[in-house]
Amino acid sequence: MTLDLGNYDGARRFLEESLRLSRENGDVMGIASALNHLGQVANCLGDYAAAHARSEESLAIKREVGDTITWMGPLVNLALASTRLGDRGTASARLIECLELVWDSGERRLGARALEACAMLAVSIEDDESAARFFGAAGSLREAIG
Amino acid sequence: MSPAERAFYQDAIAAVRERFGGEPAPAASVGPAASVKKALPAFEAAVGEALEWLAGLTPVEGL
Repeated sequence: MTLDLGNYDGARRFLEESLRLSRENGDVMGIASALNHLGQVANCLGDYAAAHARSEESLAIKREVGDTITWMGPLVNLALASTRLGDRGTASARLIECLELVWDSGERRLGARALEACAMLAVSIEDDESAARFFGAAGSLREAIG
Repeated sequence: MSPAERAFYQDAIAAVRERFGGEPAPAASVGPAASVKKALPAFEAAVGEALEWLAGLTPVEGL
């Protein structure tokens, strides 16, 4: 909620506390979830190196203990951070993996986020038509989801 | 798109708008995106197009 309202510093504080408590209690999926959201917050704050590190750690945990559906969040966050860091190869690979999971699962909300990440990648290579199409498709998806 | 997400994508959306030379408008109505709602009504179609686009990047962009 705090993140959705755009209060990134507040969200980060809550998430750091959540991460600390999860580590104390040995709650592995809690750790992975907090790291994933910290990656999202770091992207929003423009700290792309931190976003990359947090998302990689989250993904590594989720690959070990989580269902594949839980991989999509860190995959999108990694793609966004990689795009901003100029590592388009990693961004592309993460997005392909994520969209294949989206395809298999039918998970539309993360599908919309993945399409927006595709748009960001398109912007980075100045493929504006694709960027507009992906932003548009993501917007349509979000409208359909409600 | 939540306000936070819109803020995150603001620069990218602004860049697309500027390069299209369009009026400020919601991203979904910019240029070709306006036709996306008709052309890509299905979730699967949008995901499929994105996967095809990403696959095509490798040789073109040297990824």
